[in-house]
Amino acid sequence: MIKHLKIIDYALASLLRRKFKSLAIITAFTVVVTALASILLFTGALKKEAELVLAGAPDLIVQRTAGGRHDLIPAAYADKIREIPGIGMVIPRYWGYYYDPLTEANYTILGTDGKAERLELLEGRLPERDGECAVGAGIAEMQRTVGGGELILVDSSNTGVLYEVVGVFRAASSLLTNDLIVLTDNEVIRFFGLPSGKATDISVQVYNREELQTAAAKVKRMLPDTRPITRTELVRTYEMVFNWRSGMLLTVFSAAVIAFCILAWDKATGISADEKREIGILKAVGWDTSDVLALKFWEGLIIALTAFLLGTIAGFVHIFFFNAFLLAPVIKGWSVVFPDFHLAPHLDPYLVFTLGFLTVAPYVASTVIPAWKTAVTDPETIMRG
Amino acid sequence: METSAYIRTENVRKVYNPGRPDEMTALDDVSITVDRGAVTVIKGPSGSGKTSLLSVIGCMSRPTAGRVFVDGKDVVKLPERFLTGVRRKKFGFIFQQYHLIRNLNTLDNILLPLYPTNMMPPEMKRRALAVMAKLSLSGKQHSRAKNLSGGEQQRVAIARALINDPAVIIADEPTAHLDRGLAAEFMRILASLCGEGRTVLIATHDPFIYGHDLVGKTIAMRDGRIEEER
Amino acid sequence: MIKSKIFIGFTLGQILLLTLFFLLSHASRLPGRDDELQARRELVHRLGLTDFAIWTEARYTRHPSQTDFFSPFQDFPSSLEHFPAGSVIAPVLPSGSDRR
Repeated sequence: MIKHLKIIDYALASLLRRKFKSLAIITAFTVVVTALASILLFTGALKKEAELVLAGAPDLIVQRTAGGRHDLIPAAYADKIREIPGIGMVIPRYWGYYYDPLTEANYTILGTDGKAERLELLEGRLPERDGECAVGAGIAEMQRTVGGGELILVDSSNTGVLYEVVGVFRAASSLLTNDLIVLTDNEVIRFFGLPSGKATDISVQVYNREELQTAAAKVKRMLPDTRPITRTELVRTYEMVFNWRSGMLLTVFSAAVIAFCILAWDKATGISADEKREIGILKAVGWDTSDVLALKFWEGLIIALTAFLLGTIAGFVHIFFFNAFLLAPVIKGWSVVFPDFHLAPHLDPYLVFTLGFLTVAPYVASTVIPAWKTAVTDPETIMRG
Repeated sequence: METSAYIRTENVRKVYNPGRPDEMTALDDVSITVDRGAVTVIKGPSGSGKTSLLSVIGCMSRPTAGRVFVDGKDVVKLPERFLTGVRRKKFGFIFQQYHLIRNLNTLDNILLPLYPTNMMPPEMKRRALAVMAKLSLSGKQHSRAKNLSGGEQQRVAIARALINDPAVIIADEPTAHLDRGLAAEFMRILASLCGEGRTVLIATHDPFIYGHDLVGKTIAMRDGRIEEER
Repeated sequence: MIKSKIFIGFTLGQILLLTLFFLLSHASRLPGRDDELQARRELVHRLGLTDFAIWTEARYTRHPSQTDFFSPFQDFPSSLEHFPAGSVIAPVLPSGSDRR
């Protein structure tokens, strides 16, 4: 034990003798780990959030497709779906998108049944009349409006319509409501000029959640021009964020792997003459092969473990304490209205161990292995050069 | 002083790069004895095999053939771990080039042999400071090896060789980089080591060393063979 | 051995911090956090929401769970996916039945 502590001491002294190089490697390594950890933690947290929050989403959404594309659905389909055993409430939904040329932002306009409910995450209430609306915090900010204020939108007949803002969703819900404008269903139909008897899609309640897939299959069989989407698929959508096949992650990972390979290649193409000489001296004064390899192991582990731990901590702090502010511009794309990420902290130990193994083990190996040949050689042979 | 063979070699042969175009026989059928507590000098011109013989005796390399006995034990067949143990406990090596770690300070260079042991750091430091005092190196403990003079570097090399309290001191061309004054100083240090009962083995082609009164036995080598033993 | 002690202390400190983070992520199940979750679930249920309001750059990126498979290439037959969100989120292919 004492021997190993002394060898660690020597390894630290050895790294400190090359302090600028050691610091540069730790910094670069930490940055790589922070980037990877941030992405993995963000994805994990978003998935968890989706699992927990989207549990309240409709069991089934039935869309109609025409030519492979989403089309409006006859509201009468709701009656047919209601006949299927095991199906509960079936409600046609009215919603769509609105592009505001002034702010160059896309908003989502959502219809509601006109019950002026109060919700915990809504300051004010939902609209009950046609001239009222509730807006997300992002829109309130963009349009510089508040509860009791006004909002002007241009409808499908190119006419400006004035709405009274009766509710503003709280910032804590911005991940769900940031770009929402909630109107009454009738107002949405009028605003978009939707043909009579048509809805955007249909929300379906299934009594037995184990039977979601079966219910979806029955709907599809009964109405072949529809596309039922189950809540399971909804939640799975967020498992695909930063999926390894997505371009962004592939790019970041490739860059990280290439950086790693360059580092490992630099170390693995042979140790320097100075290092060889030092190993020779150590062996000559009585260090055996295992002591020398232990030294190299600790030199590698000190750097890799420090960088890994610092990078993981930095990634966690970045995502959960600083709301992923560095990742947000990457994810944002061309979005004008973009929420703050107040994600619940989520740390999966499996993820930490996997990341640790994938970062620490190769670096330690690339430090120990090149020294191996020299370490097993007679000191006299090493010093002869 | 008891004189008996502390080190003995039997028909030692050392071949470098065997089977290759640059194959070289450094030692050929070398059988010598080194007496306990005495100063033995191996003299000869450059390339005569002196350094190779010291390496084999000091357990820094294995002979191609033959046997080496240290304090009655055959060390040639020992596994590496035990050989290292013998090297660390029994031998203190002073290299021709000193082989100090240039960016390490004096104290840390001297402590190097003690790192892979279970000795506690306070005891390590106490030993090092004691040895440094004996060699007039007190006050130099924080100086980097690369900033020391030739004589000081040699004394650090000696201190490092002594830190494990070895029975045998091996010195390879110790006066190669020293002037006459420092060479005399070196011999004074050696005299005190002998006075402590240590066995000293020196390889040199410096007549100041092999002609010195301190020297008990002189072994002459040429082309890897023993020419004469006096 | 002071350097090794400092290093070991520093490393253990970092591991402790990560452990605290892990406990924090599980402490999110405390009543305060549960209330917040419940409020969000209620919101989702009341409004019938299906997606997070993240990628508002295009219509089809706003509701990735509702989007059909062809919208990213909607502009013309050999159109390429050109919104940045497309490089962040991969399409969900349902198990079994048709492609979306």
